[in-house]
Amino acid sequence: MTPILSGFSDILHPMVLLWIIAGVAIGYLVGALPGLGKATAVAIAIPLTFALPALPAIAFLIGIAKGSAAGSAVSAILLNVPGEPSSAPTALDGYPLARQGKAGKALKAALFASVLGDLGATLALVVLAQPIASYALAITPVEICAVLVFSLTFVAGLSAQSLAKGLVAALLGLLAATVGLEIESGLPRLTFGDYRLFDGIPLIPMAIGMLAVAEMILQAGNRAALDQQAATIAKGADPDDSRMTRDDWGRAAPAIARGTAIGIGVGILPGLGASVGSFLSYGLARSRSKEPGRFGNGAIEGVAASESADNAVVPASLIPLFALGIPGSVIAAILIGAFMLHGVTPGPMMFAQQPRLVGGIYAAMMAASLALLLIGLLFQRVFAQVVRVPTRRVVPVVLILCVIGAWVEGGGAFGVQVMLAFAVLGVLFVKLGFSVVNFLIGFVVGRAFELTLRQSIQILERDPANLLAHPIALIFLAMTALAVWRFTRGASRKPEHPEEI
Amino acid sequence: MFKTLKAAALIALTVASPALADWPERPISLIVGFGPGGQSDLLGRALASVMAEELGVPVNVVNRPGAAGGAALAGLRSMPADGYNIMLNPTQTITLTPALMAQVPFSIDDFSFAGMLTSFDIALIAPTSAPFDDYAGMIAHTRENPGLLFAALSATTRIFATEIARANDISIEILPVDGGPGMVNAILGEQALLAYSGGVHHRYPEQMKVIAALTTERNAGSPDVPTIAELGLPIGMDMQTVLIAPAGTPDDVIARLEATLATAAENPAFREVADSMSAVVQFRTAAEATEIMHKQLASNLAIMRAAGVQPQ
Repeated sequence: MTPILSGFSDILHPMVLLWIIAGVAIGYLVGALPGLGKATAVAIAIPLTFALPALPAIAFLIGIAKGSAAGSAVSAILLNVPGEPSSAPTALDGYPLARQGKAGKALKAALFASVLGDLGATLALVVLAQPIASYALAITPVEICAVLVFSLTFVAGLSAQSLAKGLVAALLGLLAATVGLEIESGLPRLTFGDYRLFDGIPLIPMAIGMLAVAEMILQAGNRAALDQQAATIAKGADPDDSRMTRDDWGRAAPAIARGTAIGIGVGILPGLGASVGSFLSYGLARSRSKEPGRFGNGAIEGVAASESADNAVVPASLIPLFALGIPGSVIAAILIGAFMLHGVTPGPMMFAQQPRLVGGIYAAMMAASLALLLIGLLFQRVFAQVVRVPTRRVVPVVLILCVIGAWVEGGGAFGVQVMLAFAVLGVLFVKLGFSVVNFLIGFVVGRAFELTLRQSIQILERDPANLLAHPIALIFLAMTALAVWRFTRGASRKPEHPEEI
Repeated sequence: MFKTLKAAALIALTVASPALADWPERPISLIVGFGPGGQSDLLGRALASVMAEELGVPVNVVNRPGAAGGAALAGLRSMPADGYNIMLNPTQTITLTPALMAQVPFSIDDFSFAGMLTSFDIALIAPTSAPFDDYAGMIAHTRENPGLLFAALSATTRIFATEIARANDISIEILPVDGGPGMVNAILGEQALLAYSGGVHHRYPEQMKVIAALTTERNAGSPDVPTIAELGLPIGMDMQTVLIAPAGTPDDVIARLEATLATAAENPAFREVADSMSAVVQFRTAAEATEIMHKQLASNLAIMRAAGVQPQ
């Protein structure tokens, strides 16, 4: 334990602290700009760290990942353009809050949720990485598949207007997730002969199209309302509108606690990623809420749920990396490359061979959480000025940002085409009362669900009786059955008030 | 400081080589057909920084993910053949895709090859705890316990399992996994007892063992392990990273690119990046690369045809 503790003091070196702060600041800026994802930012930054010693280099890269996970909330709230797909649920309630003149409140809620989620997951990493190692290997695709099946039941809770329409939206999302090369045979599915669809529909152009562009289309032509809204946004006379009140904390705290737990869980399970975490957290917060009608209209707890889970995934995905050498996320996979470059092999041996470095990384990650709070508060003052610009002038700029984001993340003009196609779909969804969130949840969960289902069938040797060897999976399947039973019973009893379920 | 040095190097280079001053005159785009962070991307970025120093112009890495490099290749073929658009990619996108897909939006004749930089230690691997240590042991074990799970990253990697199973009349089941990290999970979690690895197993020497090399020559990282052909099944398929330009790129430009690759292969910073991802640095000239590409395509097509795989 002593070498780990001495590693803690290593971060007090001014150069190390400087790199942590630089990483978080760069990450926050990158996250706030739509189009540059955290994976891209970390990958591009790796060559910058060639000349650095291991600790500042790794602290810098982890700082970027943490910073951009938090920064992506800024554009989601102010512009309705998620900086990363994992912040898409943040926009669902953050943007309505901004339109009500409560941008400051929403930004603070997002930041505090990010910092708390991040800190909670970092502590989980410090405490759990070693003891969890033996349990983590017991998590096979069978368990992950069961968890995903259970998570799909949240969709029912998100279907405030009509259970049937909600399910249809989610199933369409699952269908969209099947586009691309079929995972076993490599045969193209639903690609209509277009090779650009071989890797599936790119998530960022899809999310930007369905959320941001669709929203702008729906608002277009309504200048008077836009101008009035802009006036409300700019005013923000009530100081309570730009800070978290006691009442807000009361709503947000349970959402943050649950979001952090979900983020940690999703981070530990390999192959799910931050988007699954934030969407599930948002879905759970809404299905648990006594007033689900608030969601989508500026519920502070929706912002808190999404952002806490989004940020918690980053440190949590390092748990399997540190404990077992298994990359739990894209970020973790990229970090393996960076670790190896600096002579560190991630995995259980790391604790025995370089305990001091491990201690340093732990301390640096906690310092990064604090840096996140300070940098977030500082940058938000600047970014929040965006709300002073009249909406009419903001919309064209946002559209350009949307196009850039779709272009960069969707492989050129193809990304823009995807964005426009899904903008049209998004408008239709809203007009016809189908849930865009359900569609996106179905899409985000779909690929992992199909893969783990096929893996489970092989692992269970096509015999359901072999499930008995997977008690964790059985528990989740039982919970799924219970949830379905509750929802269908509620739906048949009170068809007019499904939100009371 | 570094910038000043770079600028000085830039000036020195342009002054020193007036004969070749016409190329490059402006920034070069180095296309990578995969997302950021993967092996191709990191190698591409390391190469780009060596190229920028050598050629005296900025070399920008452009990520064009999709269809394992296929989307980017389809775009590259219609770009101007002026040396300003080049691509670093694993060879199999060109040499294997035609065996699997009937409609490929590019062919080997659409491109010029400026040289090869690294080769992949493709191998059949098993977790260290597996109850066999070599190929014969694996066959014997599977004969006793049919239904051994093989982690396959793609349809191509499946072929190895089906061919080995067919040749030895044993039963191997496929566990589909999501890329290299998915394979690592399945092996470390011992859900699969056999897997296809593109070289990532070198990172896990304690947890994984090599059963056979799936290349035509023995792996550089495990020279004691025989190839699959030595074991009686000539289905080895090689893969290198090759620098690709649109067909018709001028010979002197290809020659400059080839020389840059040779320098990169010796560059300590590049080697460090390659080592960190267990990529074997193995430089090949433009002429060698072109010959290897055509041979590889013919060999892969023959193997796939013999395996009864029809392009779909």
